[in-house]
Parts: sequence; structure tokens; C-alpha cells
Amino acid sequence: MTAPLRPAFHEGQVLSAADLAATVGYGRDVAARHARHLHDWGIAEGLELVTEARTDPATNARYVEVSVSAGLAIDGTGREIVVPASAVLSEASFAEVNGADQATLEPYPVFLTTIDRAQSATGPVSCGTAAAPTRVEESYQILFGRRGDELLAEDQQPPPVSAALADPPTRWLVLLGFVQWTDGHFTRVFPSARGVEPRYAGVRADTVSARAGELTLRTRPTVQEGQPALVLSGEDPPSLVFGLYQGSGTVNPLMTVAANGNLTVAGSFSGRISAGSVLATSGTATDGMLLPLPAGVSKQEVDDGRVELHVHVTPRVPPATTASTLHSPVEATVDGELRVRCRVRSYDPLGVPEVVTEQPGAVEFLVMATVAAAGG
Amino acid sequence: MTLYVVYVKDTGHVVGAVNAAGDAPPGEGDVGALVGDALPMRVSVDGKVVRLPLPAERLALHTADDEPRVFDNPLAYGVELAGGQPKPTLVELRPESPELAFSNNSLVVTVQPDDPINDTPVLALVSDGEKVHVRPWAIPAGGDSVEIPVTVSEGNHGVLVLVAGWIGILATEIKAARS
Repeated sequence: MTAPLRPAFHEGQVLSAADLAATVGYGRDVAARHARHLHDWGIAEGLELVTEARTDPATNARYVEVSVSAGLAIDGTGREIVVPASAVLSEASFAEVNGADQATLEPYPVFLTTIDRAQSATGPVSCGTAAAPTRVEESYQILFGRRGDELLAEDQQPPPVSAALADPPTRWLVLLGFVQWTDGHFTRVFPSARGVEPRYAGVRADTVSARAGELTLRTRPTVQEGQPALVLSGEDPPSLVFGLYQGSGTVNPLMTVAANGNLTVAGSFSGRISAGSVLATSGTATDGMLLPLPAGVSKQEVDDGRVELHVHVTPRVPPATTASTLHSPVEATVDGELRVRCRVRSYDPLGVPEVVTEQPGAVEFLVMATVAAAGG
Repeated sequence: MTLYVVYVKDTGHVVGAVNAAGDAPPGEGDVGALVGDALPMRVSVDGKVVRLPLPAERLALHTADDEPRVFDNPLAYGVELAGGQPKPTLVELRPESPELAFSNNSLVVTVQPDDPINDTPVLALVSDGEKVHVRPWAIPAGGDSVEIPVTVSEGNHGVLVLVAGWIGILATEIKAARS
């Protein structure tokens, strides 16, 4: 294998068609290697399967016309596939491949691939040569696969590092989605099936840097309310923020790491408790309720003995119904499953008749969870 | 502190409450994290504590606005729904206790007529020795009482009676020898 050859010219050189073709080919190959090795292949823009409701005039059956929207993909050879305008999927082409199948609701894969189409010569033509094409349209083709072919598309292998773009182009299948076929028509589209979904173009980089001092990662091309974002900010003070976009387009912080290492979370924190640490929760609970565990402690950790609980409860004195009412706790404890058992006896010595009542009560509680230090 | 209440889905009565630190409900909102399989309502009958377990599937968990008095008597509070979702603020239920009386084969619950259009949901739990009878019932629209069929032996029984809109009753009720 030779290294890439860059065409070079000098004064007085007689240029051949091969020289001009090499000039064009050199640029194409540079772009292809960039796309192939600095990006992951897949859909870069658009190329969604879009449906429009239709009715078959012969049978009155409802079906959908399926189109692929305009867009761009990069295939695994590094070649661009451009769909310049929305294109309707051909039912006849589908029927050629899958029309003989028995009726099924199982979806069929739809692929996009490249195809070169020679354009006829334009302008003056040499007397001594035939009218060979002077342009090649780098076009596209929509292909329908058999059920399960989407798995084969996942196994496609890219060409070697220095390989030039093949001519005619290597067939590389880019999955667009899936269609359902019923009685000679498309009836539905699916974005994914059998665990496979369209693949989108990616970036390979060990360093990603921002010029504006703030780097944002988000899960959609555009800012959408409720969607997550990760913002690394070099502003003063620097911070790392995870949050959700608000309607205003700003990120509502749910987790912030400050420059001094402080971590602030809006929700609760859970994770493995380090040995020797103590977590606690406190509050009030009524009779019969299970006491909550401190945040970060799971019942499993308590059950298998990794975490030891220390519980303290105090009966809550109910409000006096009369100035002379006396209250006395009958019990205020928790059982083995942390269920509160609290009953309070009330008695009014001045009441007529003298009646002793017993009612469920409430306790103030403190639950501490400890993890024994290693080796001790 | 955040207040979490457990309420009966049939009638809206609060039957248990916990307030604790943190914004996330215990067990990620699963009522089972706070009651287990059932919430045991306990009442003294003839000097013994009788358990009237409310099954977890009849209960729901709600994060409510702060209401410290709910710990004094949870049954005096209820959860109201709006559009199928609980309102944040607990409501104080009507303080007049429904009247209870055992007849031969039923527990008669009587209230002041309130709703002429809709039935009023009732949930009754009645102890009978080791057994507990669970009776989801309703007072017909415009009516003031309902006979809930339940056959128990003579003597004292623990009862939990929840009539939607009225304060809940957790008490001992006597079935007389000739009732």
C-alpha cells in the first residue's frame, strides 16, 4: 500500500484527464478519511421516515404513504449520502423484495446507500473521443431488506485506513427505520425493531474544548424543556452542572460540583456507605407506620447486616382535651421491622364519669445507620 | 421536614403519617415502604390490643403540605382528589362521629345526610376473635344510614369505620346479647 499521492503540477506540463481526476480524487479521499476516522458513521441530519394517511380507492383500506425526509448521512467508508429533498418510498420496490412473504405485522428494515449516476457530457466535446460523461451525480438509493437484515448492517466492516473511496462506491447500508406491510401497502413505520435502531453520526476526540468558556452536552440537537444537559463552565467560579432545561432555555441545576470540590444535589443521595460513616434521619411517625431509613441506606444493607441501625423514640404528648387531663404512654417502641408501636392512655380525674381511654399515639424518632470500620 | 401521609383510597381518610428529612418520599413513593403489606390499626378490646390491618393495596402515599396536628389524630384528616391527583393540603373532616350499632347480622352506620347525589363510600373493619372482617361499602345517595352485613359473636369488638367526609372511628363496639 502506498501513502496518499498528492497531484503536483509544473509550468508547461500537459495535463491529462487522469491528472485532473487525481486532483479531484485526492480531496475526496482526504475528506473520506476524516469522516471515517474522526467520526462514527451514521445519520447526521434528517432522514426520518414520515407517514401520510391514505385510502386505497379500490378496497377502501387505510394505509400510509412513507417518505424519507431530506438529510445527510456519513457511511462507514467515509462517503456522504445526501438526500436533497423528501422522497417517497416505492411500494413496487418493496414488493420485489418482500412481496411474496406471508402476511405479517413484523417490521421490515429500510436502508439508505450510495449510488453513482453518470451525467451526460455538457459543453464542447473533443472530435477524437466519444461523448463520455463529465459529471457524476453522487446519488442515493433506498433499499428494503428482509426481516433481520438490520443485524447484518450492524456487522459491516470499514475499509483500511489508507483506502481510497471505491469507484463505483462500496455498498454500505445505513438503517433508516422499519416499515409494516399489509395487503400491498405500507401501514406503519417504526423507529426501531428487534432491538436495533438507526445509528447516528458521532465524533471521535480525546479532547473537546470550548472557545466561549462553557461546554454543553445535551441529548437533542436543539434545546428542549425538560431534557437533560451537562454544562462545564469555566466562568468565575468554575463549575460542573447537570440539570434539565427550563422553558427559558437555561439549565436548572440538579447536581453541581463547585471549584472547591463541594457537591450539591437537589435530590436525595444514595450510594455505597463508606465504612465508619453514620447517616441519620429523624422526624415524627404515628402508630403502625414503618420508620423511614436514612437517605442512602437500603433495606437490603440492613437485612444483610452491612448497616446497623440505632433507633431512639420518644412518645409525643397529645394535646390536652381538658386542663385536668393526664396522659401516660402505655408503650413507645419499634419492633424488628421498624414499625412504630405507640399507645397513650388518657385520664381526667375531674371528669364525670371518670373514664380511662387508650388511643394510638405518635413518636418522635431518630434513626442512625452505622457501618462498622474495616477491621474493627 | 416533609410530611408523608398514608390514606385509604376508598374514603380519603389519613390513617398514618410520617414526617422526615428529605424531599424524596421513602421507597420512591411506594406505600409499602411505610406500611409493609398492611398498616395495623390497633385498638384495646377487653384489655387486649386487637389489630385491624388495612391492606397496602387499599392505601396510597401522599406528600402533603405541613400539618402538625395530623399526628394527634390522623383519622380527623383526609386527602381530597382533584383530577385524580391528591391536593397538597389535607382537609379536616367533619368532627361528628358517625353512630355505630350492631344488629343481628350487620353493623349499622348512621350519619347526617350530606350528599343527595352521590353514594358515600364507607370502609369498615370489624374484629371477631382472630378474624377481621373487611367491608368496603357505601351509604346510598340521600340516605343517612347503611347496614353493612357482618356477623360477629356477642361481646366487644374492635372496629374501624371510615365514612368519607366524616372523622374516622377506631373504637370498641359492643354487640349486645339480643341485638
